Parts: sequence; C-alpha cells; structure tokens
Amino acid sequence: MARNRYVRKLKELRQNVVDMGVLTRRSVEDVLTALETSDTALAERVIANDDEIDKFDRKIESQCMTLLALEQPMAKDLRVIATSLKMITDLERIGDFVVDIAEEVVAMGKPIRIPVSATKFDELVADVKSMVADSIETYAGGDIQKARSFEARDDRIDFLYKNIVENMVNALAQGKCSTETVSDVASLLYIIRYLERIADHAVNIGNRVCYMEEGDRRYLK
Amino acid sequence: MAAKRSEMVPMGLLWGAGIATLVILIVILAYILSKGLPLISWHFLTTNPGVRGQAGTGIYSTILATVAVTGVALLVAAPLSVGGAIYLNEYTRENLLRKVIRQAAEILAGIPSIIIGLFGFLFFVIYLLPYTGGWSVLSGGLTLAFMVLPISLRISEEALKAVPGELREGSLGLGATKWQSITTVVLPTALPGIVTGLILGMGRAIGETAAILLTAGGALGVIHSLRDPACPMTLYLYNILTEYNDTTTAYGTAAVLIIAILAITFVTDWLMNSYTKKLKGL
Amino acid sequence: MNNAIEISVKDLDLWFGKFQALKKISIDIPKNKVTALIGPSGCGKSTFIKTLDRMNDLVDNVKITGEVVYQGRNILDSDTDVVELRKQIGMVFQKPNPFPKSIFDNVAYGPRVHGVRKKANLNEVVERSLKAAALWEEVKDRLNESALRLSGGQQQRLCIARLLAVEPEVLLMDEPASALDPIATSKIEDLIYELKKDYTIVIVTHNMQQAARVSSNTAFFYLGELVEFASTIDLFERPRDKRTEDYVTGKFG
Repeated sequence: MARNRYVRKLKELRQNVVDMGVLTRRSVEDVLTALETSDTALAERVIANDDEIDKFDRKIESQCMTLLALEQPMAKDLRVIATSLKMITDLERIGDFVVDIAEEVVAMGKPIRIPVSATKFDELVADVKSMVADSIETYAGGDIQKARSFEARDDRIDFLYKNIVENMVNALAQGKCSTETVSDVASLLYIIRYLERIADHAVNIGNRVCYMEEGDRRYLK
Repeated sequence: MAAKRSEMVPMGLLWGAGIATLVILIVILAYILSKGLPLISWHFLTTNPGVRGQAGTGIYSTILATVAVTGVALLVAAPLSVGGAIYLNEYTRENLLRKVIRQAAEILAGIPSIIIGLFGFLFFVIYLLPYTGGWSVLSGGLTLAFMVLPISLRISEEALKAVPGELREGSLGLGATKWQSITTVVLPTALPGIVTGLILGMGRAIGETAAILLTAGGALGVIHSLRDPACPMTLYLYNILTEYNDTTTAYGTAAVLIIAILAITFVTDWLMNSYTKKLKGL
Repeated sequence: MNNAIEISVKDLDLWFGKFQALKKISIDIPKNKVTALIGPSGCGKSTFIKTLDRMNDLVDNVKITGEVVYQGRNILDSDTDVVELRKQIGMVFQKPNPFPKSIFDNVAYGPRVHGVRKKANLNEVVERSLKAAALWEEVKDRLNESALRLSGGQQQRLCIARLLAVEPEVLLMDEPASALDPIATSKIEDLIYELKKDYTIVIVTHNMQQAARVSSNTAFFYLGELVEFASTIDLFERPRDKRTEDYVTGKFG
C-alpha cells in the first residue's frame, strides 16, 4: 500500500477523535451520576476534566488542517477529515453542556427534589447517555444502522423534554411547589435543556458519520 | 584539491589524440597551401591547361569539368536520395524492406570507388554509349551519383527521423493531409540535415578520382555539352603527376580543390546555422 | 441544463498486437462540458482519447472494434474522412508542439492547409483564435517572431489557438499542462474553463487536482477498463468502486 505515512496519520487522527469521544462520553456519564448522587466532588472533577476535551479539540483541528493542506485527501479520506473536523466541535459543545450541568450540581449541593414523576426524567437521562455512546461508537467503526435511528430517538427525547417542562410548569402554576423546590425546578429546567442540546449534538455526529461512511450528503441537511 | 595522478595519465593521452587530429589537418593544409597558393592567380584560374600539361598554363577547363560532373551527380542523386528518404521514413513502417534498402545503401557506400567506376565504364561508357557519348561529363556524373546517393540518403533519413513526431501529429491533428504535413512541416524542419547530407555527397563527388578516371574521359578541352569528355581537377592532378611529374601545377590544383571544399563547407555551415536559428527564432 | 451527447462510445475494444489496451469501453461524452480522464500510467486513457480522432491509425498493429458515434456516424468506419474528422475533433498534446514557424504562421497553418489564402481572412482568423486562447495580448506585437521563442505555457496556448483556428467542435487534450509550471498551468486551466462554453473538451490528466478543478465529469480508467464515470464531485468525494477509491486517495499498489 502506498502513502504509508499518510495512512498512519489518518489512523492517528481517527484514534484521537475516538479518544476525545470516549472522554466526552465519560464526562456525560459522570455528570449524570453526580447529579443522581449529588456528588459535588465528582461534578468538580468533571468540570476540571473539560480542559482535556478542549485540548483534544485544538489538537485534532490542527491535525485536520495539516492533512488538508499537505495531503490533498480525496474520497473517504476527505470525508473522514471533514467529519472529524465538524465532529470535534459537537464533542466540544457537549463537553460545555456537561460543565453547565456540573455547575448546577455543585450549586444545588444536595439531592434534587422535584414535584413530578421521575420516570420520564430517568428515561431522558438514559436516552441521552446511550445516544452519546452510540454516536461515538459509530464513528469508531460501529454499526451505521444505529446512527440512522438517531433522528427517531431524538424525537423521543424532544417529546420527553417538552413533557417534563410542561409538567413542571403545570406544577408551578398549580402551586404544588414549596419555596425550596422552586429553585430546584429552575435548575432542572436548565439541566434538561442541556441534555436535550447534548442529544442534538449526538444526532449531528450520527449524521456526519453516515456521510463519512457512505458519502451521501443527504444526511448533512 | 589536486587531480589524482592516475586521472591525469589517461586524460593526457586522450588530449594528445585529439590534438593529433588537429595537427595532422593543419600540417596537410599548410603544406599544400604553402606550395600551391603562390601559384594561384587569375591567370591560373582562367587559362586552359596546355595540351601536354606544360607549366605556366591554367586549370580553367578542369574547374568547369568538376562543376559539370558534380552538378550532374547532384541533380540525379538529390531527388532520388531525398525522395527515397521521405518514402522510407514517412511512408513505410520499420519493416524488412526498409532494413534491406538501408543495408543496400550502406553496402553501396562501402564499395571501393574503382569498382563503381568499373561499373560506370561498362554501363554508361560502353553500353549506353549512344546516349552518354561514351567517356563524358554525363557518364562521369551519373557514376558519381551512385556514390553520392547512399551518403545523402542515409543522412536525409536521419534528418527526417530527427523531426519530432509531435510536429507530424500536430499537423495531422489540424486536418492536414500527410503530403501537406511533409511539405509544410517535416521537410522545412529537416532541411539543414538534408542539405548537410547533400553537401557531404557533393564533397565526395568533387574529390572522387578513381571512378572519374574510368568514365569522364580526361580530355582537357573546354566542355560544350554533357556528352563531351572532360577532365575534372582531381583527374587532372593525377594525370600531370603520373604522366609529367609536374608537381608545381599539381600543388596549385590541389590548393584550388582544398579551398573550394573548405569554402563550400563553411558557406553551407553558415547558411544552415542561420536557417536553424531562424527556425528556432533566435 | 444541456444534456446533449457529443460523442457516444459503445463497446470499444482496442488491441496493440496481442495486448488489449482498451476493454469494452462505453461512455457518453456530454456536449459543451469538460470530461476528464484519469488513471495510472498505461491504463488506456491516452489510447482512448487518440481513438476519438483516429490518431491510433498511425500506430502499427492496431485492431479496434466497437463504435464511436460522432454526428450520427461511427467514425471507426473505414470510409470515414479522417482529415475532415480531425478538423472537427482537434488534439492538444502533452508537450507543446508549435511548428518551427512564426506565431502567425502557426495559427494560420490550419486555415491555409484547408485552402484559405486571402491575407485579410487569415489575419482575422489569427486574431480571433489568439484572443480565444487568451494569448493575443501577449503576442500581438510580435506575430512574425518564431513560435519557439514563446515560453512553454505560451506555446501550449498557441497550440490551442492553432487548433481553434480550424473551428473544431471537440478539443481533445492529452495532459496539456503536465510540462508546465504552476502559473502556466493555471492559465491553461482558466482557458479550458472559458472554452467549455463553446467546445466539448476531453482532457487526459495525471493530475487529479487538475481533473477536479476543470472538469464536470470524470472517468477513471484502470488496466484498459473504464472503472467509473461520474460527475467529478461524486468521483472525488464518494467514488462507488473500490479501485477508484484507492486511486483517488493515492493508496494504489
């Protein structure tokens, strides 16, 4: 095989993106654990960890620019680089939302008290976690069919999000909340908003991976 | 860094070999010219040789004979050799016929001139006597044509071969016919080489003696037609040396021959250089 | 969008002696577009382009079967007027090959061999062709200078002008910029881009970036086969065939 050095550099690039993805996924999982267990120490670690994600972002961008400038990548190579370049922005944004959630956890400092059923919230959390994990897995070479289901899963997340917001607004309106829980409700509103945005970025990643694998620009709409 | 001694020995020997060539040429030229030049005068060039070749006469008729015999040879050989070269290079592909023709030309070029002369004598002088007038300018010229032909054929062919194929493709690609391409692009580009071939052939014709000895007749009178016998300069030189031991006139004739050949060489070189320069736009 | 077909090739096979250089090539070359042919050396792309104006006739031992339909006729037929065909389908070669004549005489060459004699007409054709080849401004004051004094890039544009002077429909270009420096190359590429409005252009190139820049459609040849023919963006961004993918990403062999 020709262009060995180039092939190696491409492999390195993909590995770095996967590493960044794994790091981001772990942050998502950790922050949600911290939220569940009110572990402010863990939340602090997650916040500190965001620097690592940002470092990856800059490093990978530089790798992509070097490859683009020097190697004239074509076909799948071109798609891998373009996808990686966009995907790290998605990962970086997810990392930022994770920090936002972590900061809410630290601010609350104690278990959350909410006036509505926890089932939908738990479902939302589980869905977002699995979508983030799946998006990174498809990039790393996993089953592309999974990425194709992202839009539908995102619809479900959007539904849950709206449903929870509605329930909480109703609870507030009906005066079911104590003075204490009102601030928790406000925090929660932020948190589910962040989760919903994280899911959107995971969908972006899924679509880009479809384009990367198949070259079909339909997914880039 | 000093050159290694082992390098200098072969270099010196090769330098010597190169210089030797130059020295030999200069010695011959200087010797002949120093002996011959004093003899050359307007009188020498415009007066006919004495009947018995006595001293104090000129070489006018022999110059005329050389010009006539060489002219006939070129007139016959030039179209044949250029035409043949065009045919071989442009119209045939590298095949057996072409190899055979090329080999034939080489063999023809290698045949000793006395044998060509013998053939010319039997064929032109004896067999075609009614047409050639026997020993004559025509018989001599036609015989010389055989000697010019292979040289200029081979050189013309090389010249045509040296014309880049892209030029032919370019011309054909513009919708020119093959013949148009040859006449308007290929031949003008190959012209310097073709002319060089003819000049070399001409040099051979001017300098040839053995073949002329058997075919031109050797009469010293001024020629009036192609069927008159004639005595070109080389033959005259040979005759006066062998028959009269007239070395003075021989040196004079030799000097004229050498000057003529040098002049032709330099003038054509100069012409072809300026033509090539024009072609290249310099 | 104009989707007319200029040249339609069907099941074209070509042998040099026993070696099959082209295998069952079928391709429709669209009118007034630039079609690029890419592929490794010896893949048949140059042989293919030469078939389109019957230049392979000049080669020994060629056997060609199949159809190359141009203006409703199979130009491979033995009764094709090759001289007339080459007036309509002109070729630009890899190495600029101006004749050792003046700039004017180079451009006027084609019209002259086709019988144009009037000086005024020739002047007009020469000026128009040189303008179309984006060379007029550079040479208008020295038309009588030898073409060999021009730079390589100028010579190549002169060769294009020389071709335009015989008013062809199709321009075949066999690696027209491979012997030129980057600036001369980009001038040729700009020129190709301009010319496609009026001509159908088929360009063979070793330079994939060049194919990507100048062409609307690209054909990938490999081992005498036409592996893939697609819009240029598709071929370079999402090739369908593994061999095309390997070639355009440079991972061949």
